[in-house]
Amino acid sequence: MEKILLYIVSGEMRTSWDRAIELSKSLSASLFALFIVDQEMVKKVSKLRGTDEVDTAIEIEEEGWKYLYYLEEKAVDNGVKTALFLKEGNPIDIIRSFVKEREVELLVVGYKQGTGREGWKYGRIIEQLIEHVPCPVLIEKEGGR
Amino acid sequence: MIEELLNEDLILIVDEVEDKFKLIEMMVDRTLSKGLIMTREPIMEKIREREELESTGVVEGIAIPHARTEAVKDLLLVVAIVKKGLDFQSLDGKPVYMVFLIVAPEDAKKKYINVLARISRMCRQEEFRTALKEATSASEILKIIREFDI
Repeated sequence: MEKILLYIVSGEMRTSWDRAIELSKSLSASLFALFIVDQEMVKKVSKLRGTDEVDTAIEIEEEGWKYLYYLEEKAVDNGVKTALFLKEGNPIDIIRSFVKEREVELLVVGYKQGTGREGWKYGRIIEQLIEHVPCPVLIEKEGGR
Repeated sequence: MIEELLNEDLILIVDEVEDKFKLIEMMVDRTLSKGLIMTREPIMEKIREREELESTGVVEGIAIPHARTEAVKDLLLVVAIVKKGLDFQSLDGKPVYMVFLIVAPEDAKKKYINVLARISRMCRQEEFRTALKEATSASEILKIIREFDI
C-alpha cells in the first residue's frame, strides 16, 4: 500500500490520526491529510453565532490548517511522508474525487458517537463514504470503548 | 500576527535561483546577516531533513518550508519572491514563485502552528497570491501581507 488518506474532521479525533500514522509507518505509505471546509457547516455556524459567513469560513479554515500542521508534526516525528490538503465544498464529493485522482488505497476516518442532528449528520457522512468512496474505509472509533 | 515577525530586511526578491536549497540558504543567510541567528548549518540541516522526507511545496506557486530547531531563540519568518519561478518539487509539479520560510524554537510549537496556519490560509486567497507575485519591492510585499493578515 502506497497512499493512505486521513480525513480530518476536528482536533478531537486523534485516535484516527494515530492509527493513520501507525499504518503509514508500518506500510511505508505516504499519508495524505485532508480537511474540508464544508459550506453547509459554515452557514450553520455563522447563523448560530450571528457572525458573517466569510469571517466564519476564514476562522474554520485557519482552524483546519492548525489541525493539519499538528498532524504533520506528529507524522514527521514518526518519519512518515505527509502531504496536507485543505479544500472547500461537500465532503463526500471532495473525498470521492480525491481518492480517484490520487489513487488512494485506504481512507481512514474517525468516528465519535454524537448526539442530536449533528451526530446523525456525521454518521450519515460516514455511511456515504463507505458507499461512494472507491477504496477501503477504516473507521476508527474515537474516545475508547 | 505575521507582520510583527516581518520587516523589509527579511524579504528577498530574486529574479531566478538554481534550486530550492540555494534559495533557502539565501533566506537563512539573511537572518544571519541581521544577527538573528549565530550559524546557518543547523537550520539548513533541519530544513533539508524535512524537505527530503516530503517537499513542503504547497499548491498554486507557493512553498512554505518549515522546521523547529534549538538553533533559533525566536520564531523566524523570511519571505522570498522568485520572479522567474523555481522547481520546488511540489506535489502539483508547478513552479513556485513565493516562498515563506518559517523556523521556530523547539518549545514554540503553538506559535509555530498558528503562524503556519495563518500563512497557509492567506496563501489560498488568489488575490493575495497575485498581489505578491506582481510586487516589485519589499515595502510593497510587506504592505500586502499586512493587508491580508487579519
